[in-house]
Amino acid sequence: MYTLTDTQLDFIRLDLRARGIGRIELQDDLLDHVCCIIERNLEADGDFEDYYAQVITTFYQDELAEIEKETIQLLTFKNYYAMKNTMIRSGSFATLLLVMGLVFKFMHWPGASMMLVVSILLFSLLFLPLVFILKAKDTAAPTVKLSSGIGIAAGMSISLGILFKVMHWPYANMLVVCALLAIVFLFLPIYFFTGFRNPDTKVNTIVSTIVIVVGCGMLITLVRSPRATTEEALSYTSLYYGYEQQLSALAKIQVADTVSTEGEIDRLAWFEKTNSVKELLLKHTIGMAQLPADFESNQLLIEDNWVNELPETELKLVDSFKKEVLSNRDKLSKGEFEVLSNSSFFKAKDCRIREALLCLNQFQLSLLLN
Amino acid sequence: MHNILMYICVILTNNSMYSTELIKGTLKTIVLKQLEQNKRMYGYEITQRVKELTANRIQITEGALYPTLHALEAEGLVVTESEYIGKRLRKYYSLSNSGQKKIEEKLNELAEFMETLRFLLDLKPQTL
Repeated sequence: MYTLTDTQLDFIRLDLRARGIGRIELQDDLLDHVCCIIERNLEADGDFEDYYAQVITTFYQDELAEIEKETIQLLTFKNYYAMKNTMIRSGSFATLLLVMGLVFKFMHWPGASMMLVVSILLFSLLFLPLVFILKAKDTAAPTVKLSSGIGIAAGMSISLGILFKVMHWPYANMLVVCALLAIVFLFLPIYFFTGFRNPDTKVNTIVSTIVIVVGCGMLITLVRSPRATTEEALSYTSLYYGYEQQLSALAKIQVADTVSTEGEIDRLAWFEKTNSVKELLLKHTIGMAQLPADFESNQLLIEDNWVNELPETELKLVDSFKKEVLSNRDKLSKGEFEVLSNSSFFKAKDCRIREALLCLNQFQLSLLLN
Repeated sequence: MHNILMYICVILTNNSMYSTELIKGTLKTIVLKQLEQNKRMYGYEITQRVKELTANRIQITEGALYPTLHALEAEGLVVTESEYIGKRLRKYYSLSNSGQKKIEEKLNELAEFMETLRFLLDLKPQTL
């Protein structure tokens, strides 16, 4: 009977770890097991290292790590049915919620955006990963695993990108474009060449490749080209600049003529307040409080940003201005020109900054003319 | 348990050790039955006990035993208690309540399977 020393125990544990046994419970089990064999079979004066090296090789066929792999496989197999169930349920629920969300959205009923957000999150963060895990488990070929991994990741990225787009969250376009690039340059080549070589899947592969390429192409057709985006921003900016010039000219004349009467609201003060809100918006989109005359040559264009993208403190200022205007609505919109009731900036929860600026210009004009 | 193991040996008339593939499908049942009879056991003890009972014909390898024990634990059929033997930890496995309920079902399933196999392969019973 051999007695193991603490150093020898540490040696065995380190060796088990080095041979790829990472799970602590498995290490404990195997350590005890090896020790039992050594203690019972090795003579008291036997050669520990020699005997250990012999014993440990009887534990496996190719490498010791196969015990850990087998354990993990058995443990995941146990979850296999639960995962499959979750996949089907989450997928069905996401679909149902998406359809309901769309109906609610078109009917302008409350709760639509919540439903859409939850359904897309469920679909992309639970359903798609589960599809991949289960698919990867069933297929042994590494190329199939790789291509389905890329495909699923791209799918997640596209659906999250669409969600980000409708919620006006940042990086939406980047997510979709990266996913499309991954599909075209990574997924398709692997998918096409592995499927094409196999006579059984040849026709199917050609058909699905065509469908995917055309699908991606059509999605890209929906994306506005960078040049068109610049041209659109330029036309909005020129429009705003023209309004702004006329407005300030008119304001100068009006200031000279103004005689404030009792009970009237201070139109000039409101005019200035509106200016400061416009400055906040401009600062966010072009980085300057005033639009300079040479905006075109300096590429200072009012981009396709949304008011709600403003930093929180500034957004609060904008919102409190909106509330103040709406609470003084009766006095402010008295007169020939009424702009508040049709103004998207004052009425909607969110609108584009370029739209907001034009609405504010209209509001200022009504202040001067009424 | 003895009967079951004998049965396996009987069905497969091979004088040497059985291949791991053959043992794998029945290993859970073998382990559960051992635990039922011996209350609590550690890994090495299980392999030795089965080896003794089957006159060395069934030798459970470490590579098959521990993944099975861990899977049984994850399924909630066995529970473990740890004890220190000097500086090393020894884990004793024993049946949980649901394991005790499950064992009958597992044994019947295996017995039926062996019966079918005997019929299918037209094997004649032999003794050890």
